[in-house]
Amino acid sequence: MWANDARMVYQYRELLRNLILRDLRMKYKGSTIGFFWSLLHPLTMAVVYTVAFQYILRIEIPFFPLFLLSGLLPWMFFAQAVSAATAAVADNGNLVRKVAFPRIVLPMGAIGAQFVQFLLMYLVVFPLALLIGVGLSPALLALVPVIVLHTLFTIGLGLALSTAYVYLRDTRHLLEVALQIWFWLTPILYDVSRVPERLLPLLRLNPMTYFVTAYQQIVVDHRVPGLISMTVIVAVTLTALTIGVSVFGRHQRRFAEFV
Amino acid sequence: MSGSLAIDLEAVSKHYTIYVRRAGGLKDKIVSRLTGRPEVRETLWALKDVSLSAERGATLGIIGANGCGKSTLLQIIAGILQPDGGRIAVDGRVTSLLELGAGFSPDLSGRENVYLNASLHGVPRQVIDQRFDEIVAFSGLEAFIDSPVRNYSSGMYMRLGFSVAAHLDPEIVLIDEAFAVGDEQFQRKCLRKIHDFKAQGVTIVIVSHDLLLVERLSTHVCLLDRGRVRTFGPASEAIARYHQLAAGGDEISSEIRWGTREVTITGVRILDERGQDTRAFKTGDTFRLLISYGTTRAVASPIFGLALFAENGTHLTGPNTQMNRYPIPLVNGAGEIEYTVRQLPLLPGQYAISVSVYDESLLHAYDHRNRVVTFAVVEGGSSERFGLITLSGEWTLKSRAQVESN
Repeated sequence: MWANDARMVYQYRELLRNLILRDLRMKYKGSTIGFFWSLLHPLTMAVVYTVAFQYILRIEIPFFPLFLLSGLLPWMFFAQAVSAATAAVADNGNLVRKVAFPRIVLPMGAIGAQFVQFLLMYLVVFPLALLIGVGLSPALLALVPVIVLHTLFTIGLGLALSTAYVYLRDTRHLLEVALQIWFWLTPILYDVSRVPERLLPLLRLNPMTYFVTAYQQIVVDHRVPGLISMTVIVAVTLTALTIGVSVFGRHQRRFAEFV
Repeated sequence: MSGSLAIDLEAVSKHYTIYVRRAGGLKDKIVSRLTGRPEVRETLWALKDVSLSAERGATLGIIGANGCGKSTLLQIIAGILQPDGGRIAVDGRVTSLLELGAGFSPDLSGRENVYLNASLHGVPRQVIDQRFDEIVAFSGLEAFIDSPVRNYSSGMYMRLGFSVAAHLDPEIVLIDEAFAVGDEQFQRKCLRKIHDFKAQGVTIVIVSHDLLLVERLSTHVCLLDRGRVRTFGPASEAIARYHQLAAGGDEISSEIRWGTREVTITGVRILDERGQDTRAFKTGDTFRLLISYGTTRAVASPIFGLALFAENGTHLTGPNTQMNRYPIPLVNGAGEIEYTVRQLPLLPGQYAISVSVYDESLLHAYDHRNRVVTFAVVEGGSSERFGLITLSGEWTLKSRAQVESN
C-alpha cells in the first residue's frame, strides 16, 4: 500500500509541483508583496497577544513573542493545510471526473502549498530569537524531524478528511468548529504549566500538544524533545498516516462518481 | 490478455445508484433516520456484460443512441470510473480527448495551463519543454499564450486542450465527439492528427454520432443499446445493424411513451419526395412524416402533433393540427396522417422527432411517443454551415447613392 502510493506520487511529481505552484500563484497573483501580507497575520497576532498577555493580563511567560510564534506558525500551517486538503478532491471535481490520475496528488498538492509558505514564514523565528536575546543553538536542528513528522501527521488527517468531504459536505463546517476548539485546547497562547490539574488530561489526549510543545522547547529553550514525547509524536503520526492513506486508498477509485 | 491487445474488456458492468429520495447532507441523513423514511434508491445499469477488445493500432468505434452507455464505457477505459463487475485490461498510456481543456485553471495563463494539463497525464516537464512550441503552433494561439485562459473563447479553450492532448505521445487515444471543435480549418487539422495517430499505430477509441466518420476511421465498431453490446464487428456490419435498428426493426432508442391509447400511434415513417423510406436528407429536400394510427372507439376532435429536436436536445419546433388550423372532426378505425415539409430548412446534423395525439384540450394524451424516430441531414444541400437552420434569406447590397435615389 505504502510503496504503491509513494510510487504514484513520485511518478506524478510534476503534477504535484504544478498544483502547488497553481495554489501559490493564485494566492499571490497581482500582489507584489503578497507573501509579506501572509506573514503580517501571525506577526500582528504576536504583537496583539504580547501586549494583551504581558502588559495587560501580566502573565509571565519568558520570551513570550518567540514562544507564541514558535507554536502559532506550526498550528496555522496545520489548520490551513487540513482545511485545504479537505476541500481538495471535491473542489477539483472537474479534474476528477474527466482525467484519470492518482487522486492522492490533490490533497498532497493543497498541503504542499501550505507547507512551502510555512517553511518560509518559520524563518522569522530565527532573527526574532537573536533580537530578543534567546540566540541560536545546534538544538534547532531538531526542528527538521519535528517538521517532517508534523507534516506527515497533517497529511494523514487531511487524506481522511478529504475522503469524508466527498461523501458528506458538512465535514467542512464541522472541521471549522473543531479547529476553533482544538486551537484553545493546544498550549499555544499559554504554557502547560499554567493549566489547572483538572484540564491536563484533555491536553495530554491532544496530539497537537506534543507537536507544539516540541516546537516551543526547541526554539525557546534549545531543548531537544525527550524520548517520551518523541515516541508519542511518532506513534500519533504513524496512526494518522495509516488511517488517512488506507481510507483514501479504499475510496479514491469511486471519487469520480461522487464529486 | 494476449500481447497484441491494447484494450480488453470482459463482461464489464457498471451501475449507478439513483436516489429517488436522497439524503445529501448531514441534516437530511439524520432527518431520514428520525422520520423512518429511509433514502430511496434505484439501480440503473449503465453497462451490462460488455465484452470487447481492440488490437494494438486498431481503431474502435462506439455507436448507439443517447444514453446507451457510450460515455460510461469511455470513462471506464480511461480509468476514471471503476467497473462494478467484469475484468478490464488496458495496456498502454491513455490520453483522453473526452472533455478538452477540462483541467484548465481560468486564472492561469495558457502557458501555465499547458504544463498543468500535460502533468495531469503524467508527462515529465522535459518532454513538455521540448514540445511546447509545437503545441502552441498547432493551436494557433501564439499571441494569447501568456494571457489567462479566462479570456479565451470556448473555441480557443478547446483548441489549446486538443493541442496538448495530441502532443503527449499517446499509445491509446479516447475521442468523444467533442473533438470536432472550432472552425472548419481547425477541424480538418484535428482529423489530420487522428489520421497521423492511425498511421503511427496508436490505438484509437472513438465515440460519435457521425456514422460516416466512424465508418471511415474504424476497423471495428461496437453498437451499444441500453448498456449492452448489440453488435461488435467490422464497421460496415455494425453500422448497417444500427440503421436497421433505428429504422424501427427493434426499438433502439429508449423511447418514452405514455397515454391512454384510445388513439394509438401504430407507426411512424419518414419518407422522401418519392415516398421512399429514408433517414438521410439534404437541406432543402422535401420531407414527409407519415403517422399511422388506430383507435379502440370513435374519438372526436383529436389533435395530432409532433416535436422536432436537435441533437443537443433543443426543441426546434412543435406543430400540431390545432395550431395549423387543420381540424379533424373524428377518427374511427385505422388511418394515416401525413406532415409534409416542402423545403427542409435544417442544416446538417442529427434530429429526433416525437409524435403525439391528444384530446381537444391538449391536456389528455391518447398516445405520446417521445423521440420515436431520428433522421440525419447530411452535407450537400446548402452551403450554409452555422447553427441549425437556414432562413433561405437573400442579401441585397445598395450603395449610398442608390439608397438616396430611391
